Amino acid sequence: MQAHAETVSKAPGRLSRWLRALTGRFGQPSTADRALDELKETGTYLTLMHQQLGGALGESDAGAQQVIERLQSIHAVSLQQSDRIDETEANGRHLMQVMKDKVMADTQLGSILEMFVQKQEADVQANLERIKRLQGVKGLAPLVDVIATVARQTNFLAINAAIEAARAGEAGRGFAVVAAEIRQLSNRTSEVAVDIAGRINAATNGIDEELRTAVETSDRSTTTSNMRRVLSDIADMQERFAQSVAQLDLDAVIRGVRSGHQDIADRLADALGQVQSHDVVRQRVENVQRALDDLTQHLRQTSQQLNSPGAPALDGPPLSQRMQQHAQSYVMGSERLTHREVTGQQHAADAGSTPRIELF
Amino acid sequence: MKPLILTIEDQPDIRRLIRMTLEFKGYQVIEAEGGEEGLALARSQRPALILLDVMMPGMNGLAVSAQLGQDPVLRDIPTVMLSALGNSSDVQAGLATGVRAYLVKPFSPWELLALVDQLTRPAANAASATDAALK
Repeated sequence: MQAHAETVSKAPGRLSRWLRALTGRFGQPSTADRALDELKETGTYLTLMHQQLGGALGESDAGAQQVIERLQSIHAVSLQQSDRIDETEANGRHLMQVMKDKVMADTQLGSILEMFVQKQEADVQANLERIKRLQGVKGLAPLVDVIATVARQTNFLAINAAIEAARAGEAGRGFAVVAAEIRQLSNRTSEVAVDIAGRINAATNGIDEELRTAVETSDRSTTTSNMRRVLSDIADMQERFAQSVAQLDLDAVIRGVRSGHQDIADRLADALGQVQSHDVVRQRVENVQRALDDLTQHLRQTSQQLNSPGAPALDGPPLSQRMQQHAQSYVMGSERLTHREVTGQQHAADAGSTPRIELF
Repeated sequence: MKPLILTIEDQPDIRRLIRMTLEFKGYQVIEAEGGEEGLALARSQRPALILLDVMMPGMNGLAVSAQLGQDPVLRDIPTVMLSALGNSSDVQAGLATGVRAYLVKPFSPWELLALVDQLTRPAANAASATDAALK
């Protein structure tokens, strides 16, 4: 490689010497002319290579452009997806709020129904107490019987007193009047006692039945206890619903989707960046094309020089210097590395480290 | 006749539940869906007490309470805040606007009725009512 590099760097000087030697030794202009013709043709050859490189670069450009366009269309879809995620997030938040409100309202309703049931239970109990108190009225019936018995006995006493008064004759006449009054009073008392007994009976008639019904109402098999069971079932359902809402955690799900999508978008952006490194290749190839132009120009001048022996010496820099000048235009570490491998020379700007990718 | 209570609450379900609770004890209830409407009703109806939600679209409960406190006519109407916001900072922010009590939803209906009864009694002792509400 080193030997080859030296050969290349010293090529212009050797070529002209070789051509002169050919002309001088054989004295055959036709051979020198042929060599000169060959030299002229190299310009065409180099131009061809320049154009081929340009063509390859153009195709590569078109390919890269297509990749970029596809990536950009994916990026556009990704933006739409991001919008949809935003919308889903907003909807999810709204749904969560609705569900929380529902759980709260249901709990509130449950506590109010519980209050109603408690009130109804209290009412039933109060009713039971009232009926029990009414049952106490039945206890009056025996007392009425006592009054009736007293009246009956008083009547007997009055009858006896009337008999004794009759026996006493004229002396007992006044006593007979009192006995008759007493008998009348006792009869009246008996009538009232019967009336009271009837009224008590009427008032308390069916009270036992009512008490039994009231007791049953306060039993477990009644409406309020059924309501309480329903309330308990509803509370269980609410609890399960609330737990489901908590477990659902839509926020976390949407956060996961957003994070995954962001990851995709980041990688997409990275891919776009990688595709743009194609520009680096383009710059490097264009650099080579400029070098080929320079070489073509140099060979054309050399050819003219050889074609006109009387012409002044070459005024442009020799090839080795041109290569050094070409090295000045390197922007990539890899360009410098290749230069060093071929020429065995270390370029001044190549002293530092070589970054993997250079942006310009 | 039982006192008139004004409920300012944006959620229809909760308004209905508050009405059920208050009517259970025979209170008369009028309702507003938002802050502006609530202030207008308070001025026109002069309720004995105002139940005020905090989180409402438009003018929220804190702003309504602040306006009630600045109004020479309405500032004496006892106001109770009802809110799902139950953090101590939320409660403090509510009480700082001058309300007499702050109940966290879902509230106990018994507690609400006891509070309303206490605050609407003619010789209601404001301090003890507030203490009771704060638990």
